[in-house]
Amino acid sequence: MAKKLVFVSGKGGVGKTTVVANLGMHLARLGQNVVLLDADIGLNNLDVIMGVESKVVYDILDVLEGRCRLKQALIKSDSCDNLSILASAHFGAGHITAAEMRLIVANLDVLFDYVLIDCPAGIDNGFHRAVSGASEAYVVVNPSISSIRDADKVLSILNTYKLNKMGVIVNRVRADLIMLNESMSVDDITRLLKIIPTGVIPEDDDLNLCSCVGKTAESKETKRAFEILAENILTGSTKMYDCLEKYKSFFKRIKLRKRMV
Amino acid sequence: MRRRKEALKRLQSVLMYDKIQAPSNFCELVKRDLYTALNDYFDMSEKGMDFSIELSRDGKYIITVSAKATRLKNVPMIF
Ligand SMILES: Nc1ncnc2c1ncn2[C@@H]1O[C@H](COP(=O)(O)OP(=O)(O)OP(=O)(O)O)[C@@H](O)[C@H]1O
Ligand SMILES: [Mg+2]
Repeated sequence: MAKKLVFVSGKGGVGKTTVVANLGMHLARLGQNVVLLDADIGLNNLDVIMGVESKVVYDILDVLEGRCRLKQALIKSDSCDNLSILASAHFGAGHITAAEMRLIVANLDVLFDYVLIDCPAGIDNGFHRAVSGASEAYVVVNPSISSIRDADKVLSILNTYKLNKMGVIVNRVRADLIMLNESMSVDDITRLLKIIPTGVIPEDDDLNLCSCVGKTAESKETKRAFEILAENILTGSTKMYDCLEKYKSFFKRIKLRKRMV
Repeated sequence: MRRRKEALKRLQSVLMYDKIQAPSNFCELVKRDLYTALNDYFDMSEKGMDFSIELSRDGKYIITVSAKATRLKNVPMIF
């Protein structure tokens, strides 16, 4: 039976799709058979971030409306054999029910080890549809007041679903600002949300560029952060990527301070 | 002081009000009354007091008050 993980946030643009794409790639590299399910109907982006937009022939709506079989709609990633994507539809958010989404997930369940569901922003129907098929939920959060506030609300809502596990992934962490006491740290966020993070991903301009050309992260640090996240998901460990590591030497701290003056 | 502390304080307060769904001056009112009550028995420290309300999973309010006093007031003064 597959583990069915949904990635939610409440607030939009915090990096759910980016996390799904990169985590999926790392889980696949660890030998898992992974499928990424784009549940953001109408505002689908997972296909472009994974660089497979030109390969999309059928999408989730085609499967549900019987125009193709589920296996025909699955797209294999170019860079990893055991990573597939089920694209979302360009329209029809109102046509797909939570029961239908559960049906799709149940069918993917027997084919894969991991089903990663990319949830739309917000907490309305799209959220319910995406979460209702999942067995675990992860809230992606940025170190900003609005994102943390929304994450707190979403965590409360998730408590009303039957989930085996809930976690938080802190994305876009700015170690330089934390060192200067200008940004909330991962510890601060953990204490506020009262939940141990499953992953910590640094802010990385290159990751944004990689997404633009349909690739997953290439910088050493971000790859390491996703590797640790994948390991935590796979084994249940709670290892944390230490984004402050590079500023721990005395000279690097001095350099950082000089840069900020 | 850097902005992290200020941001943390605001967030704590925002999250608390989101949960307890009370008007935004609710805590200030309770805090003021508690301070007045405690001040009858203690010489309260300048730093004042911390007051927070949380909502537990079973829907109960968890009220935490932490206050510092420099000394107890004289018993004859109290009674
Ligand atoms: N760690 C990061 N460092 C730098 N940029 C990032 C990081 N994570 C995400 N981004 C960028 O943030 C933007 C939004 O990311 P993404 O589309 O993954 O968010 P989302 O939560 O899926 O958005 P939506 O709610 O609209 O679905 C993208 O431009 C992405 O490249
Ligand atoms: Mg998205």
